[in-house]
Amino acid sequence: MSELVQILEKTVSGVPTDQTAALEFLKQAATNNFPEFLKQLSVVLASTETVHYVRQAAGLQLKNVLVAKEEETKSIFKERWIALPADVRQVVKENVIRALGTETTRPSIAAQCINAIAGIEFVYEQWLNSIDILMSNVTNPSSTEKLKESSLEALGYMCQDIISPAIEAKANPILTAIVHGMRKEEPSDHVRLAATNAMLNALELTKQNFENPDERNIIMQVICEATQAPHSQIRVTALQCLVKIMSLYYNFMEQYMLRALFPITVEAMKNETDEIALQGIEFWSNVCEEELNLAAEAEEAQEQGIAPQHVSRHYAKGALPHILPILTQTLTKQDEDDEDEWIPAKAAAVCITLLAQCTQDAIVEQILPFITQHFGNDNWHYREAAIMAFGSILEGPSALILHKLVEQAIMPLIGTLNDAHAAVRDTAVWAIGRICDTCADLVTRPETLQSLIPALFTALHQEPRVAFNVCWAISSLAKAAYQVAAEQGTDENGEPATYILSSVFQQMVDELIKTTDRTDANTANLRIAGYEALMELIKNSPQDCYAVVQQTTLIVLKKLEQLLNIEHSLVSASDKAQLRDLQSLLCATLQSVLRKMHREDVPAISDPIMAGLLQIMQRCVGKESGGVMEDALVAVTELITVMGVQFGKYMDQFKPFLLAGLINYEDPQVCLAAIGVLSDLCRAFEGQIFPLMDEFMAHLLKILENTTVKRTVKPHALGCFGDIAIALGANFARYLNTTMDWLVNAASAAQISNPDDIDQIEYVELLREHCIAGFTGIVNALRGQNELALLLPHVQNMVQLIDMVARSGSLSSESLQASACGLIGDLVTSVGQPILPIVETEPILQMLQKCRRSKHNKAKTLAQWTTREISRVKKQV
Amino acid sequence: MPMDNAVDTEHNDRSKMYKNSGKPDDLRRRRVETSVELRRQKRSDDLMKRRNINLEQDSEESDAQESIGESTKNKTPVRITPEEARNILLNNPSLEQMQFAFEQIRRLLSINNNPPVDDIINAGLVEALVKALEVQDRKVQFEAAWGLTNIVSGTSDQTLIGVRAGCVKPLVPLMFSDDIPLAEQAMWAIANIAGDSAQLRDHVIQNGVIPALDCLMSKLEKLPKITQRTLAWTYSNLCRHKNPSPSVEVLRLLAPGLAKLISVDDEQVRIDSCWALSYLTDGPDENLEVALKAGVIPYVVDLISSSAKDQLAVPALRTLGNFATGSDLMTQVVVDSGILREVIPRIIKTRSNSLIKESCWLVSNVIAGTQAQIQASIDAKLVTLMLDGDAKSQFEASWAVANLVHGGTIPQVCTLYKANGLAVMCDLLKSKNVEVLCNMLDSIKAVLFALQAISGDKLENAKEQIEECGGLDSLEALQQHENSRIYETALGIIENFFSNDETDEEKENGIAGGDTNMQFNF
Repeated sequence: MSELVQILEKTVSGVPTDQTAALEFLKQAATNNFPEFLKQLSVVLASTETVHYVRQAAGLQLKNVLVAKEEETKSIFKERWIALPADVRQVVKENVIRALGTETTRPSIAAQCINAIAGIEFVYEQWLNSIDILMSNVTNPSSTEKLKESSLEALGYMCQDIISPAIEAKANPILTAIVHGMRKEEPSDHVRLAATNAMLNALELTKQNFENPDERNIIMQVICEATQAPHSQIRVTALQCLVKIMSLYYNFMEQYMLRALFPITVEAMKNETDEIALQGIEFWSNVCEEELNLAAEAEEAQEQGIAPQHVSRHYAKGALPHILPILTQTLTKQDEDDEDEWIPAKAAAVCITLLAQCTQDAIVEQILPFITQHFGNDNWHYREAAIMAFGSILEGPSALILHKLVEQAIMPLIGTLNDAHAAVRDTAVWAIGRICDTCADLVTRPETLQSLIPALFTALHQEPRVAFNVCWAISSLAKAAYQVAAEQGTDENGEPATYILSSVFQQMVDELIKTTDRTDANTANLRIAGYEALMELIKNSPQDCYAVVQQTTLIVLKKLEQLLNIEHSLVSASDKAQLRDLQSLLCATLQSVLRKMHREDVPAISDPIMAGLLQIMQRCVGKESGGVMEDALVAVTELITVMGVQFGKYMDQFKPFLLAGLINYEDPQVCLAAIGVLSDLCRAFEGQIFPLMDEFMAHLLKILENTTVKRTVKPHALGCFGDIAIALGANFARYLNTTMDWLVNAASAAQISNPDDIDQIEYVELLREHCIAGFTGIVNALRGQNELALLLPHVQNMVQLIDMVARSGSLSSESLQASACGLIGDLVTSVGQPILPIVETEPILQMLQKCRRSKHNKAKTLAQWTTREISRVKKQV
Repeated sequence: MPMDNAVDTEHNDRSKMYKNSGKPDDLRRRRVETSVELRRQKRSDDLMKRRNINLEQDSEESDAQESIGESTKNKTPVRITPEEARNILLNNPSLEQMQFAFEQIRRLLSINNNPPVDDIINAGLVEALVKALEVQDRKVQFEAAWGLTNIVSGTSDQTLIGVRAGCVKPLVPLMFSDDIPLAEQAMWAIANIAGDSAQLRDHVIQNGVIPALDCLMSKLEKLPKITQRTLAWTYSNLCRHKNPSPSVEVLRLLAPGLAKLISVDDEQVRIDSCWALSYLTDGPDENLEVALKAGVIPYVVDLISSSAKDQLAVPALRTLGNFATGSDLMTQVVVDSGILREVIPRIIKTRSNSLIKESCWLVSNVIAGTQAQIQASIDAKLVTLMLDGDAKSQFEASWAVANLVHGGTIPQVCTLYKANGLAVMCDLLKSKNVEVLCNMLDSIKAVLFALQAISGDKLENAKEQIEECGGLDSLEALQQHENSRIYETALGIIENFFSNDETDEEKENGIAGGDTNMQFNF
């Protein structure tokens, strides 16, 4: 043992060579005789004669051979521990339990070791009595303060980390211990804090206890009492418990709201300690979010003609007159500088935003006096708060009330863009952006724009934080103007001929590009915002701004070139990260330009674009630059779409990147983008892609076979089969059996076993959608007389999927049902009368009828077409 | 290992909501989504094109309903604004221009996302649509009826605007048309209006919708399935809504049609007509008589016993359940139907919660009837079954039990004891619902008195049961209840039956709210 003590001492000695040697020794010891090593570590941890930091080091080493962050190592560790002889594990367990309460440092490392061991053992339903031991440590009157505290820490960790039915079954002793430790009679703050922390983690486990009124009363009582503790961290944590309870157990809170929760949280909001005030505000933000969800649930239930499962008690509305004055007062407590720190003033702004959404018209009258009274206040804190309050209520109130409010405010608000204080201008320009989002018609009036545009241009040259918000305001303004113009009529591409910003379009583009070139554009995310605004501007540009859009392409390309030239001179990690962001943004800008580009203008510019993109992709290889790669691939997709088969001239150079993307399982976004590119290539090249297909197909199949790739990727590979089939036509027969096997397999796995599991429903929907896309493409590809025979053996399987979609009723989206209707039509067209008996079934006919009556155009069109195909085939006797 | 970083993440989420700070991340995500969405769109356009090739080949077969199918994709639709449509219509339009304008208006109203309903209303086009119904041109009438359907199927305000513009009056005659798609479209609009409120329902009835329906009913066998379904749905909307309910005279006129519809061999038609019947029978005895005379009961019973699906069985059960709420004579209809013997027990044992609830409600109302009717329920072992069920049917069962002790004979009351009902009844003493508590206390009291009257042994046995299952604890707790009737009844039971037993032990275990220092029973 003494040797081990010396070694452990060295691990914390601070001398690097000693440390390395010591760690190497420990590694050896762990491999040579693992059971002995563990026992020794636990002995050191428990030995009170040993100096405290060595005991801590022993505990740390012990913990580190039991748990790991990484999943694979974690499961290796798990199996290694459980494979140890029972007596070895018993010794270690006894030692770590014995160590509790004997440590002189905080937090207890023994508690963490107990958590690590329990995390493994509970899975095997073992060592459950550790919880009883910990409980009696806490409830035994003769226990020391340290013993109680560290036992509670252990329980807290266990509640946080262990997800298993075993720990749920132990909720009662856990709660007994926690409640005991939280009592107001508990003399030690340390114990009370550890108990409150543990309570915060235990709340999810206590569903049953909350359903029992007596037990619920006790839990609520100790938590509410803890919010009044003298120690402020106890109060903060207790308030966090209340926040979480409101989410978990909203429907049980009625009896506590008026007498306890309301006064406690209102007092907390007024507290001068930021952490306490923040939790008070968070409580009400959380109430709003819950009630917004409940309102959505009620609406959905009403549409379906059923009673909602949970009902809102409208606490937010009731509390509004009491909490709003506190919140507006809190708004005035901004920092002098714009720090990233989360402070009550910011939390109050968010809370008001949520209150507005929740209480709608009710908030306007109550907050208006504060806004008008302080809009011209000499103190900038109040001016900023007034504008903040105004900007925060723009979503929620009804259109009519909002319109009246904004109509009065817009001109004075533009005036505040000259304010002496940056914070005021910053918030004012943000509020203007919000107006653009909510009142498009008001903000695009000529008399408004006449003042607004010059003011925005000026502000774009101000502090980065102000310019950042100007960029967003310009984005929103462009969207608003485009939307207003599009409502007046568009061409067949959906573009209006002109809009009210056409005359300043060029200038807006120039100003934004200048902004992205500002030397301080790295601060406050300004450069990103500048590019995003540029993209939004291009996306929402009418026909008469096309020349400027075209010219932007050249500018972007030039910037790309400059960037590639300076890349090698950058060394620091932050410079490189910035560069990656910039490359991503330029690729994204190319995407939006290409989306607008007229087909005939592309050949002139495609060479430099592709050269730039290839260079970027080249540089991504082997680096962690998934984001850039993804954006570059999406830009390539846009190029393929506008160039069509002409893109073929780049295929030799581009193919290696595409293949590499298809096997990039570590980065699902890149893999998805690559699958997307392949789909688009199929559409662009049609039959001409056949010679390349063996290789691509092999890569797609590898994705499906792979066990580590993120599960959301695979469905897209299945959908891609459909695009390939359409491109190849009869030639697809070559891949038919393999692809069908995968599709059928996936379709039969796409089952909803739990209608309450939203994740599952979403995934099943994704899977079914892509299976149907795959099937649909294949049916359409094999239309010829000779191919029909190939198709027939698979028809039954396809109809089975359609039937499942139909039977899922409203659990399937309308769009999925529409696609299923389309597939029926395709099958009926191909197969003819023989298929009728299996598609004219009750669920399928009902789905067709529902879709025919749908308000959704695609569903209506497809269902009607399919119904017609069915009756047409019937008549062909 | 930090204790908990929930605080940080929570602030992180909130801070993204502060001003524009969450936007950069948000937009990157949205960009990717856009490219996926565009690809999906391309895929679907592509398929549409392929399918439309087939569509054109036999375009001579053009039924008005289906004309949407081709036109949305084939030619790019010439979208005109409501203003432009208005201008065309104001300037002495030719028939072709009218056809064009009304088709365009209908198209605008059929856009999926936010159709510009209010713009059309503001442009004064609702009145134009109403007038168009009387233009003697099939296309104009059809487009107008369709457009109006989309307006009146919107919000209640929008429905009202359509009605105020006088659309009901000219829509009704169109329902007599031999052109079935046109008649159906008109009916569809009418059904939407009737479904909005009791007042609008009466308004369409006053405008003669019933004869129009009779006319369609006379062609029932020749109507396509879709039209039959719309017809049934229209009937259901005409029977719906209370305050006021439709008059019994109206129901008398509707009942023969419903009797015919419920025998149609189509599930959806049956579902809607059965719902109609359930509304119709949700009223006084004279309503029940209307249904009885129409001869629908055998069909209803058949639907309950033979439908595997809840959608059909629920309205059918509800209809029969309504009979059970009527006079003893009406209740006897339920007993005579024979449904209590096999069908209801099977449902309670095997079916979904909503069906179980309906069944229990029906049974509890039968038990509220005569002693013979109570006996019929007891013979079918229904009380036992309900009490054995899960929490939800137990709640319903509490009403059945309460009805039994009020109306049953002493031996009938004692069946509750024989069926091991006391434990369940005691369990319900933990309920928060005052009515349930009252019912259960009265019932327990009644059972104990009934047993006392029959046999002392059984009474002792029952008392033991109550003690063992924790019922006595509940009774004692209820003595503290704020409701005077509850504490008095609880007190009464204890004084009458349990006052001799010493119960010190129990007291020790009781949980009083305030004291947190004890070892409590989590």
